[in-house]
Amino acid sequence: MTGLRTLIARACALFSRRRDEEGLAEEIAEHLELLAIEYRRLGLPAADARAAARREFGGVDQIKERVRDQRGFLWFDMLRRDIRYAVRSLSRAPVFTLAAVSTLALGMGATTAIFSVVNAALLRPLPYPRSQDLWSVRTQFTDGRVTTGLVSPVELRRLKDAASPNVTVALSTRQDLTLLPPDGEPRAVAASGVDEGFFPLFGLAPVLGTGFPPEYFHRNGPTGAVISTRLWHSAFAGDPNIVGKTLSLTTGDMPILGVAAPEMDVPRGTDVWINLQLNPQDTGHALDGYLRMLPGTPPEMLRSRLGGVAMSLGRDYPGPERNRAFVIEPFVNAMVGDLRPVLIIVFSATALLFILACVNVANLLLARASRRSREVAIRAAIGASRMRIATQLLTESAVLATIGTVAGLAVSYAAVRALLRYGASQLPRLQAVPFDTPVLLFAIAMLVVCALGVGLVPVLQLAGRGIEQRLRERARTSGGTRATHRALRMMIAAEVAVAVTIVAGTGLLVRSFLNLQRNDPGFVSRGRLTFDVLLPFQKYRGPGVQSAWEQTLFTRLRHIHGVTAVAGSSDFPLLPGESGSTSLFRLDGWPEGHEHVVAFMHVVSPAFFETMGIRTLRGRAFADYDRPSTAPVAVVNESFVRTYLEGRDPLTAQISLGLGRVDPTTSRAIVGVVDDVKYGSLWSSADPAFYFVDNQSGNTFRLHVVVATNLPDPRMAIPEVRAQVQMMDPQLAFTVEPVSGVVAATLTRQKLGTTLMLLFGMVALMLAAIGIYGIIAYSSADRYSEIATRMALGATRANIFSLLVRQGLAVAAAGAAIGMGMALGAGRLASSWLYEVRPSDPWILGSALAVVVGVAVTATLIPVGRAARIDPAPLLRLE
Amino acid sequence: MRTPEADVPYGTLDLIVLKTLDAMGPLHGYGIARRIEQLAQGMLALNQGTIYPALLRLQQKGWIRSRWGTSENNRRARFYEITRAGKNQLAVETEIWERAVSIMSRMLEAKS
Repeated sequence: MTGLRTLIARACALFSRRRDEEGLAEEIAEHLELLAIEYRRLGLPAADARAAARREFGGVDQIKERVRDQRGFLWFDMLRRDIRYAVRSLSRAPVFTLAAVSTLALGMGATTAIFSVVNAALLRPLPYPRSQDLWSVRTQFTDGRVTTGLVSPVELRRLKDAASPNVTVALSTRQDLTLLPPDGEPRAVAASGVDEGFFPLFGLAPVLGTGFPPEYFHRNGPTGAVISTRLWHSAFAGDPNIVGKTLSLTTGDMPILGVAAPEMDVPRGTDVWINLQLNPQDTGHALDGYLRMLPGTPPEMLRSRLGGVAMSLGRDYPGPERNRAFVIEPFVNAMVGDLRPVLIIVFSATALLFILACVNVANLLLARASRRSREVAIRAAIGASRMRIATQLLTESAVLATIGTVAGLAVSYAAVRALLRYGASQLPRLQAVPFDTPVLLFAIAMLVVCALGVGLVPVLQLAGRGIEQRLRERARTSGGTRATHRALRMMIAAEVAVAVTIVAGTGLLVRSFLNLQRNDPGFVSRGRLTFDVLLPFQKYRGPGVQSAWEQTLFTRLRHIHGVTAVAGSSDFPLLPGESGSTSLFRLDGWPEGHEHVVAFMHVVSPAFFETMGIRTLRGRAFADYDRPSTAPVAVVNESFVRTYLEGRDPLTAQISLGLGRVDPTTSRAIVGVVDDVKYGSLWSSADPAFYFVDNQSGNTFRLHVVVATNLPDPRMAIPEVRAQVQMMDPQLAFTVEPVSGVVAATLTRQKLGTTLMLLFGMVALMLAAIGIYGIIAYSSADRYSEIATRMALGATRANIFSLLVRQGLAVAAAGAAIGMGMALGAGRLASSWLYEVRPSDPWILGSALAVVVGVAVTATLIPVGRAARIDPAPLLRLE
Repeated sequence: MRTPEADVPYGTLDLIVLKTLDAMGPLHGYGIARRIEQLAQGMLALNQGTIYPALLRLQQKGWIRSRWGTSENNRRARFYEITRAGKNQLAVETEIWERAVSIMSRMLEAKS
């Protein structure tokens, strides 16, 4: 209790310093006066009485000092004095201060910027209640067969039966719709069909309305829509009476049942949620699955239970469900996807960069400390304790680090804005990168680490040594101690090691990125445009209506100046969510009861392969004479041949859809083999796929159109393409973009990561060069007298030069060796993210080594050359 | 033989000041110092100034309080006064001190 009172009293005293001080002075003066009166009464003359009073009282100033110590916080006072002193001494060395602050600002800024991105994407909790209990669920074949990884209604039903009470399950499926707003242009909206459990699972209450009533999920129940807050504002101006109004779509109208919470964003970008009426016997895999566990359910328990469900499904539905397993993943990971490794790699690189910046500042401080050796010695001689000197030096580092951090925060703020503008804002969870508490805490943690780590260097060097020893040293000729030189050598080694790691890492990522970019996707993107439209089926229903419409559209587009070919397809390579679906198929000659096999199925117009620049390897591509009336045909890709037609002439094979025996009435002859096209991503290999021609297949409502041109820039044709499509149907919403843009968009995150690494690599190299230069310059200047002595004893300039270079290079070599080890380790950790580059690639490691060592040698040679040119005579005379 | 002057044992000055204020009522710093000297009868070497840090310490603990008044010299002086908490503390510390003294004297008187 009294401890607390004392604390409060002391804290209050911090604010009443002047009044307290005056009071004390007055009080003591009165005390002395009364004492003096006493002595005068004993007969002493006035002057002697005053002197006697002072003697009896004791040292007035010492007493005042002791009262002051008692009054406030001693350390606070000292801190205040130390800070003032530090600011003064830093402002006396502006070049040093500027160098140190800007180095720190760069290191801190980069690290904080990347941390705030990591925080936004990976660390920040999702906006759903108890989001750590949310998981995504997918399926996978354990025998290597291909699948989209989606979930079927049968699986949902079994999961719901088996999983309760620990788990709730929900599903969604992406659909796309064209909205006809009350006024304005038709617009494409991302829509998702959702089951009964979906909204309760995510747990966000709607802004308006109550969501879907239960009967909406019964078979043949009504259909309605919940719209996103985003759409509510952009298309309906935030109409407060929106619930019950009609949502007009090209496919028909439906009532709006509610407005979802603004944070609700599953599946990402969804603007309209529509109730799904699932058939519980349906084994089609077309749904995204979500799980919510009760708090505290161990994931292993969930996994084993899911394993059990998969087993029983396999028994009951041997076709589609055999050897199928559930794969669960925390929902946040599923959302962020492959952004995660990119961020982790880049973040590790910035951490190394931060270390480099700290080493450089430590080295600047060290050089400065050796110049201040005498100042410290004098302070020690007039009574400062080691502790006081150490505190003072640490304060100076802390002031430096604080200024660096503030500047670093500004740098990171600017860097994050630049990153977002550069395209990072299109990545999941990065629409906004908040500058929140975790980011601030991180910056403060870095500040502390930096101030302590960097600040301790001069402290160890200066405060550790005895006073006499230091006073004996002559400022000019002082050779740093053995410990100082060891510290300097370690710093050079650290600089080289870190630089090698970052440069090698940059090399690996750049190489990997170039490999990806040069990667042949199986089609030609140059000179081509693409767009897709959603054809409302009511309007295009009826035999041949849609085909006729497409024919007319293609003909009109072909007449545009510069257009050489036009084709359509049910899906499009590398377009997220549009890269095709799988279908069950059978080949002739397969035994009865052969296992359930799926491959990707694409429906294309006859000119598709030619228009996309996809090579036909064997047989023929589709042609205009493949009509509904002629024999049905199919084309397969090379990977399909490799997987299913090994040892057979593919052009003699028959393919049909579905299970069971090949039905001669629906089977198709394989007439050609085309090159593999990478539909999923540039870095995964193509899956087995077969193509049907649209004339001989049911129409798909989504139509992807590709337009090949011979224009230098295909974008020149965009206005005319738009105009033609709008003339055909003014209610269609679509965006025309170059195919090369579609390909580039799949590499956004890789490009971001690579660009950042390139930037960091260059900054790291620069910092290392400056750092090594500074250390060598300082340590060779420190050895001038030694050099002079050696010269006096007969060493030539060449001897001196080679001595210093050898010593410098030995250290750099040690650092380089450590750096190689670190680079290899880092490369191995990141190897899953590298594309066709081995982490031990000798060319990359070798060139990283060469670049860094080259920079280190250059940074060594300049100051060493200067040292070898010194004139020994004046130096020796000074000794 | 003259008794040698002893330093004030560490930590006891606070207790002495508290006791003085308890016995004498409100006093200014000089008055406290005089009173202590009178009682010690020259056996304590006390720089009068050392009572000021002690007075501040006691105030911070809430055991004494101070207010400005007028000295016999007719000038402004700070007068110190014991508080209720101070009185309680004095009782506690007196007891502790007496016990310590009695233990110590028993120890020192004990014949080996």
